[in-house]
Amino acid sequence: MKSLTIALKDLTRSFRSTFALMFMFGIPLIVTGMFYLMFGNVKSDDSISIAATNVVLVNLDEGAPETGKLGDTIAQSLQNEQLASIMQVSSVDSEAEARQMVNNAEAGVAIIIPADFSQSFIDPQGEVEVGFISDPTLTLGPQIVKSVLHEILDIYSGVKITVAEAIKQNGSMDAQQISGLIQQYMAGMQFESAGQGLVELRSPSSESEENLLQSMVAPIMAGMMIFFAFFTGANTANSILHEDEEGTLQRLFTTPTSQIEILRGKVISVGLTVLVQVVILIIAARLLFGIAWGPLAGLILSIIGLVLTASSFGILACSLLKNTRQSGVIFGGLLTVTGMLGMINIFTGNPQSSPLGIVPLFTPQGWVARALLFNMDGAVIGKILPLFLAMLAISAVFFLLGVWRFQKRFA
Amino acid sequence: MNLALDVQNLHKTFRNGSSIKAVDGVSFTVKQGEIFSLLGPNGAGKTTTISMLSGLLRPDNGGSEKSDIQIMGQSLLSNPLAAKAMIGVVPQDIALYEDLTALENLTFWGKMYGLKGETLKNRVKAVLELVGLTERARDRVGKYSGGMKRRVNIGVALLHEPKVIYMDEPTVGIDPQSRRSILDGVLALRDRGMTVLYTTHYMEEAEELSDRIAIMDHGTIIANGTHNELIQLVGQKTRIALTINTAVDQIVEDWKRCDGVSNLLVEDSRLVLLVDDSNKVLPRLFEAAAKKDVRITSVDIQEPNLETVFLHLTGRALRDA
Amino acid sequence: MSILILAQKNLTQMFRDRKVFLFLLIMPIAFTLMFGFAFSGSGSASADSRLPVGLVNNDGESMLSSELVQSLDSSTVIRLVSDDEAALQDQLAKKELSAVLVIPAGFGDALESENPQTLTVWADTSLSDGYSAKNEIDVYVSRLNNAAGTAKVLAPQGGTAFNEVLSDALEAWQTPPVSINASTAVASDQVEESENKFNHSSPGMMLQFAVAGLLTCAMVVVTERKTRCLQRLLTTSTNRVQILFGHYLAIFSMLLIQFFILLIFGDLVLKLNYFSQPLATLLITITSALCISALGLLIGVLAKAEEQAISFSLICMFVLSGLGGAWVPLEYTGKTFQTIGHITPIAWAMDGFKNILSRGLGLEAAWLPALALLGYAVLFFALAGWKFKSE
Repeated sequence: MKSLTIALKDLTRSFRSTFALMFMFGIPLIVTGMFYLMFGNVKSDDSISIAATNVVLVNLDEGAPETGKLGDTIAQSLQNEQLASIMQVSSVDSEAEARQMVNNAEAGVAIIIPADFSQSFIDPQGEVEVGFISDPTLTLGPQIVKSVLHEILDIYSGVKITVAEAIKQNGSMDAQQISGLIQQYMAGMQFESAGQGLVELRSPSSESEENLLQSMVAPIMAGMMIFFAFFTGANTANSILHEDEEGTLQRLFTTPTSQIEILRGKVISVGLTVLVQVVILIIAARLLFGIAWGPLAGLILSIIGLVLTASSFGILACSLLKNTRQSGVIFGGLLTVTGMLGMINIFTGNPQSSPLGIVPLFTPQGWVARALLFNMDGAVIGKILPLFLAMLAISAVFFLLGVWRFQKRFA
Repeated sequence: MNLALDVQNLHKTFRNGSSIKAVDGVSFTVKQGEIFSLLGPNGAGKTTTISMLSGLLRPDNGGSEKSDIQIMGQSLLSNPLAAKAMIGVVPQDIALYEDLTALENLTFWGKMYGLKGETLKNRVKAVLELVGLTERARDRVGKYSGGMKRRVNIGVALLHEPKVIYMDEPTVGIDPQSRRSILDGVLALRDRGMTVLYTTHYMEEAEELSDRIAIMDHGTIIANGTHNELIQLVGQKTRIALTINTAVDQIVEDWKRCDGVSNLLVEDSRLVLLVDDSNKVLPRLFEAAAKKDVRITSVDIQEPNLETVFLHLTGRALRDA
Repeated sequence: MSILILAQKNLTQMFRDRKVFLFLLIMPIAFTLMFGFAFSGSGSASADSRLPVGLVNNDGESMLSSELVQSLDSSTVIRLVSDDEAALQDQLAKKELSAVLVIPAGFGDALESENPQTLTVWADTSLSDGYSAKNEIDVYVSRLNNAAGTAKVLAPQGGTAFNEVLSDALEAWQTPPVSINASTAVASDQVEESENKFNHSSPGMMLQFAVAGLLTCAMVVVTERKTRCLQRLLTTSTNRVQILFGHYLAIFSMLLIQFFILLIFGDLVLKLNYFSQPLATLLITITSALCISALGLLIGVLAKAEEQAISFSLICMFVLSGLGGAWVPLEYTGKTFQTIGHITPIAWAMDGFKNILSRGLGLEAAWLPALALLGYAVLFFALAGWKFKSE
C-alpha cells in the first residue's frame, strides 16, 4: 500500500512538471505532426505527389522534309496539361543556358532534343540520343520526369523499330506505306503511357483502404513514442537520485517504511508513468493523425513490452549514476544513441534483414519498434509473442540489475 | 524514569580514500520527556550520530562491546520499523516536495508513518493548525517563504505523534525571529511530554533549552550532564578576553607563564584566557603587559559557561573548532 | 581581453567534460556512417546493389513471359528473386523486397490478342525503392508491349512469323533507337557524376549534431547562472556585451572544431568533396557555426533552469533538423513545406553543402546560403542580447 502511495506521489509530480510533460507528450506529437504536415501532399488516390519539377527544354531539332519537326511533337507531349502536376516546362534556346539553369537550381532537369532528331528517322537503322541533365541534389523529381520521357520516346522507338522490321521483311517501302504502317502501329498501341495499362499496382499493406499518409506517419509516431517513453522511464527513475539530493529520500528512510517498499514504490511509479504516457499517446495519435495501431491483442503485448523495457532500462541506467549531474550522460548520450539505433529502420525504411536490419536488436528500443511495426502491418499474435517474450527477458535482466544496484547503494 | 533513548557504543568510520572516524564510541541516554542536546562544533560527529539514530546509517561493529540503539525499548538495529515508528525526524535541510502542496506533503508523509483514513485527516489538520498554515495548505511548498517551509518541515515530524523527536540544527541560517519561534516551539513540545534530541553548535541554545547536554568533539562525547554539572567541570575558572594595542605575539608567552592562567588562545586579534580567579590574575596580566610596554585596550570577563567548559576540555573555542 | 578570458574559461570547462566529446564528436561520426549506409544499402562494392524484386511467373510456358523475364533479368536497376507468392509477399512486408511482380497465367497469349491481361506489381511506391522498382518494370513491360504491337502489325496472322518478328523487335528494343543520354549537372571535374551515398547524410548529420550541440552551448550560460557565477560576473567591470561575446566565442569555437573534424572525416573516410571548393566550404561552415552558436546562446539566456535548456534544445533539434531537410530531403515534401523548410537555417546550410558536394559549385553558389545563415546569426544574437539586458 505504501508503495502505491509513493508511486502515485511520483506520478502527480511528473504531471506537474512542464519539462516532463514536454518530453512525454509535447515533443513526440510536435515531431509527428511536423512529418504529418510535411507529407500532407499525398493525394486522395494515395499516390505521392511531390512538387512539380521545373524542366527546361531545348529543342534544337532542325526537322526533315520527310518527317517534319518531330522535336516539336516531343515538346508538345511534355507540355501536355495532364503532366502539369509532374513538371513545369519552359523553353530556352541553348544547351549552355539550360545547363546553367540547372546549376543555379532554377530547373531540376534540362532536356535537350538534338538537331538531328528528325533526320535520324530517315534512316531506319539510325539512332538518336535525347540529352537529360538533372540536378544532382534531387532524386525523385528527375526520376519521375525521366520515366515520363522514356514513355514518350519509347513511342518513337516503337515506330522506328516497326518500320525497320517492315523494311527488313519487305525490302524498301515508300513514304505512303511507311505512313500507313505507322498509323496502323499507333492505332494498335495505347497512346498514353503504353506500359501502365498493363501493370496494376497494389499496395502491400493488408488494409487495402489504408491511407498512405497514415502508413508513412504511423512508423514515425511509433518511433517518437518509443524514443520518449524511454526518456520518461529514465527521467522518472532519476527521481530516486533527485530525492536523494533533496533529502526526501533520507526522510523516507527514517519513516517506518522498509527500503523494499520504498524501492518498490519507485519502480511502480516508473512503470505507471510510462504506461500513462504510452496510452495517452496512442489515443492522441489515433485521434489527431488517424493512426491505426493494428490488432488489439498484439498492441497490448507491444505496450506491455514497451512499458517494461522502458522502465527497467531507465532504472538500470539511473542506478549507474552517482548523482543527478551525471544524468546528462544518460539522457543525451545513452538514450539518444540507443534510441536512434533502435529506430534506424523507421527513419530509413530499411529492410530488416539487411546488415543494418539487425543493429536495432542490440538495443531494447529496437525490439519494441519491431513489435509495434509488425503489429501496425497487421501481423498475427504469433509473430508478436516471441518479440514480447524477448522484451520480457530483457526487462527482467535490466530490472534485477538496477534494483540490486539501488539496494546496494541505499543499504 | 524510563529511558526514551539508550545509545550504546556507537562507532562510524567513513572510508573515502583515507579513513575518517566520525563517531568513536558514543554512548548516552535520554530520559523520557526531557530535552537532550548534543552540542559541538562543525565536524564533531553530531549529524553522523543523528543519522545512526534515525536508521540512515548503520553503526560499525564496536569491537569488544556491542553497539545498540534502543528507542522507547525497541532496538533500532534489530527491529528498525517498530523503532522508527517511535521517532520523528526534523532534518537540518528542508526535506519536502516543493511541487506538492503542504496538504499533499503532510498527507503523503502521514501515510508513510502508517496513518490512514480519518486519523490521517485529523492529524494533518491538527499539524496545519499547529504550524499556523491552515490558510495556505493548498499552496505548493515551493511558493512558501523559508520560514514557512521550516514550519512544514517540523510539522511532518509531528504527524504521527512520536514519542521522540530529533531536531538536527534546526536554526542554522535563519533570522533571529524565526529562530526564537523555533526555540519556543521546542519548549512547547517538551511541555506536551515529548522527548527531544536536539543537536546544535550554538551554546546559547543548548543552555536555554536543555535539561541535559552532551558535548561532542572529534566523534566522542567529552562531557555529559546538566548545565550546572558541566559548569562545575571548570570550577571557578573564569574566561577573560583581552585586546592589546600591538601584535599579540609580543605578550602571549609572558601571559601563558602568569600564575593562575590555565589556558590561553588567540582569537583573531583577541587573547582569550582561562584563569582560576580573575581578581588575582588580572593585575598580574597588566603588570606583565606594562613591562613589555603593551597597552591593554579592552577587557571582557565572562562567568563560566559552556564555551568555557569546551575551552577547558579541548583547548579550543567552540566557534573555532 | 575580457572576452578572450571568458571564452578561454568556458572552453577549459567544456574540454574537461567527457560528455562533450561524446556528443560533439563520437556520436556525429557514428551516425553519419550509420545513416549513410542505411539510406543507400550495403556499402560493399562487390555486393549486388540492385533492388530485389520478387517474381511469380504463372505463365511460364509463353514466349512473351519468358522474354519479359529475360529482359528484366538484364536490368541494371532490379534483380529478380523467385519463390512462391506467399513467401515473396512476406519478404515484401518485411521490406526485404522492393516489389513483387506477378505474371498471370495466359499473359503471353493475351498480349498477342486484342485483350491483354494486366500484370500485378505489389510495391509501396511511397518509398523510393518501391517507386524505382515499379518504374523499371513499367519500362520493360512497355517495351514488351511495343514489340508485341510491332509483331501484331507485321504478322497479324500469328504463328511462327509473329514469333520471329517479336524476337527481332525485342532484340531491337535492347538498344532502343531513341534513347536518353542522362547526366547530372556538375560544375567541377572533381565531383563524380555518380552520386556518393553520403552526399545527403553527411551534411545532414553534421548539421543535426551541430544543432544537438545547442544543449551544450546553452548550458554554458545556464550553469554559470545556476552556480551564481554569472551574477558575480555582472558585479565586475566586465560589461554585459563582453560577457555575451565571451560565451559566444567559446560556443562558436567548439562548434567550429566539431564541424572541421566532421568535414575532415567526410573528406577522408567518406570520400566526399568538401574540400574541392575550400573557400565555399569554409564560408558555409563558419556561417553555420555562427548561426547555431547564436541560437545556443539565445537558449541559454532564455532558459531559467537546466530542464528548460534541455527542452528548448531538443525541440529546436527535432524541428529545425526535420523541417530543414537534414533527415529527409525537402524534395520529398510538398511545395509548401519546401518553402516552410527554408524558414529554418538548416535548410540553407543543407543547400550550401549540397551545392558543393553534388554540384561542385563554389563561392558563387555559397554566398546566398551564407548570407541567410549570417542573418539568422545576427537575429539570434540580437535577441539574446536584448534578453540578457534584463539578466
